[in-house]
Amino acid sequence: MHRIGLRHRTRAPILLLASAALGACGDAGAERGVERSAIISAAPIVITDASGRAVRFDHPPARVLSLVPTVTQILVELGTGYALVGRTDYDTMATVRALPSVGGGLQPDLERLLTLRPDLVIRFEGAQDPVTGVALDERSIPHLTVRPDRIADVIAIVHQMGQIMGRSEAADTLVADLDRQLADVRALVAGAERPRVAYVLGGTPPWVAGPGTFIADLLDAAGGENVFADLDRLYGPVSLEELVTRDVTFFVVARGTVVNLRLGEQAPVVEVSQEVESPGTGLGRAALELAHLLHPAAFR
Amino acid sequence: MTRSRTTAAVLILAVAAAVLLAVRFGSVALSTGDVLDALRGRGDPVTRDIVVGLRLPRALLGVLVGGGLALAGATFQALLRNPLAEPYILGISGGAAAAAVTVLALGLVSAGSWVLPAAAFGGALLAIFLVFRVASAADRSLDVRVLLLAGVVVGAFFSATIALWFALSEASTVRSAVLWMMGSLAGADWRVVVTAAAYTLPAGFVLVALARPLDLLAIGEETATYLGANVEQVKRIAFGMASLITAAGVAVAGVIGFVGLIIPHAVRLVVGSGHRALLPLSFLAGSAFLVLADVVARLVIAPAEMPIGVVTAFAGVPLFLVLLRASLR
Repeated sequence: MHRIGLRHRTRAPILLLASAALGACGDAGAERGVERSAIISAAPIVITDASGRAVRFDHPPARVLSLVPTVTQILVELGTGYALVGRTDYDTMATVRALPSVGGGLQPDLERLLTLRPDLVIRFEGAQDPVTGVALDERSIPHLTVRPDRIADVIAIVHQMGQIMGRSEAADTLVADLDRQLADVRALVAGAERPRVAYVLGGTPPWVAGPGTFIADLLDAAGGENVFADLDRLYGPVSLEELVTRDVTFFVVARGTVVNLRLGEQAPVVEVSQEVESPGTGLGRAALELAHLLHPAAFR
Repeated sequence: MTRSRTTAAVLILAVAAAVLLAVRFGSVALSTGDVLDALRGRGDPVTRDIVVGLRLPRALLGVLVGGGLALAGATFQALLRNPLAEPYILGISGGAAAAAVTVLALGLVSAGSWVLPAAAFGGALLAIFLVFRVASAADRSLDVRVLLLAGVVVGAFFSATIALWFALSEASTVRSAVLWMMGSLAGADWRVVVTAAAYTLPAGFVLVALARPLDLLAIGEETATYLGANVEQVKRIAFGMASLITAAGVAVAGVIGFVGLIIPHAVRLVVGSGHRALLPLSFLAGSAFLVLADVVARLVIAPAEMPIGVVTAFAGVPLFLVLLRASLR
């Protein structure tokens, strides 16, 4: 087990003061009280991350750098945005835009990362960034990897962040909201005939969403049938022949996606907002939007 | 010889200046005083870490990789008697990339940070081994035309292997592989620097020691034999050492183009084609060039990083044209 506790236990009082002070900048008063009690009451917790590493927290981190936009959004919605010390170029939410950027979420600028003095870095699992994990390990900066592939992963990440930040109740509420939104959408489209949908991400040959993705989960919740449920990977290219012979009812694309015109001759190409392609707490809205398109009758 | 000495002095200063610039400037603005304090082990620990833990090893890795590529390029140009020869011409980059993509696609990289460079190094050596096997199967005396052809064939085979993995893999694997193949010094830390030095420096000294037989070889193998060079042995050692340097470079920094092709030509335009001067001076010029290119790559779109190959090509082409014009006057 990797035992990555916060580096200097003796710093705990300083961290506590810092986080309380930062909290005061945000919502003040009652809000601050919540944080303080959460920090004091939180026992050491151990989280197993997406890489299978066990990461130990003696108390909630006070300086978090999330390299994963999904997690940044979750942290803000849990009311722990005060702990964020930086962002990536892909975090454009108004609440975090003022924070300094470290560049991309993969292979961020290490100089800037170090100057932010994070006590927790959250990053993508996988081999796409072989440098950052090593650099953080060398400096004993705790880091946690996530992999938001499916809706269930996003929900698990919300719970994890709630635990880490001492905001389990807020996390439960957030998850309950998302669950309810998804259940409402499912109820709306229940019993209706399920249109056959190909979710196209663009490219030549076109890339589609396969099984095991949050997009497939969204299609399912919105009462659609993913025609590429048999794809052998999460996202991948398929030949035009496949696309036109699979008896597709709708091709769904995110707004602004360029698709082969042939598809339009085969079945309607419908556009959804970009939010459908970002795995986060907006997944409930995304499911609703898809359901609107796939089952307009259910909304009359 | 005085011209070589002057050039050497200028290039040593250029390397020193490049390293100083690389340590002085980065995406985080530090004052000269901060940097000097950090180098003396004083001041803020994060600043110290940025200067000594990030910038300095990265600059030194640039010295080793840039110098190594230029030295290997000069050697390949002499051995193959071909001005288009560069360190990757015998399929080394293809072998390294194919091995790297294979471990990425199979998910083996999670075993540790050493897996990817080790695989790339192994792939590079495998490529060279195959090229020599193919070439010597056709002709025992290692005819350079056969070698070049074998290099192209082996390289094409590995390119196809990479394309095959791309077709079979997740998008994230393809992305990782493309990022790796673009080349970067971002993986630099002290361990990497020591590893790169352990291969590059000894092999580099061997090549410099072979300067005289390489001069003879560049004239022609028959002439070299008449003049007393053990042609086959020199060729084997020189190919081996240049390949080792290239393999180490690819393993730690991916495929960085242009340095190994252009720098030896540029140096040749200034000091002539005698290898006693050409080889060490190519090393110095390659070092200074790559370190400076990396400074630009780190700064120009900070906090994001420009692929270093973009900078080496954009800076290398005009530089080379200027030198070429000057030499033709």
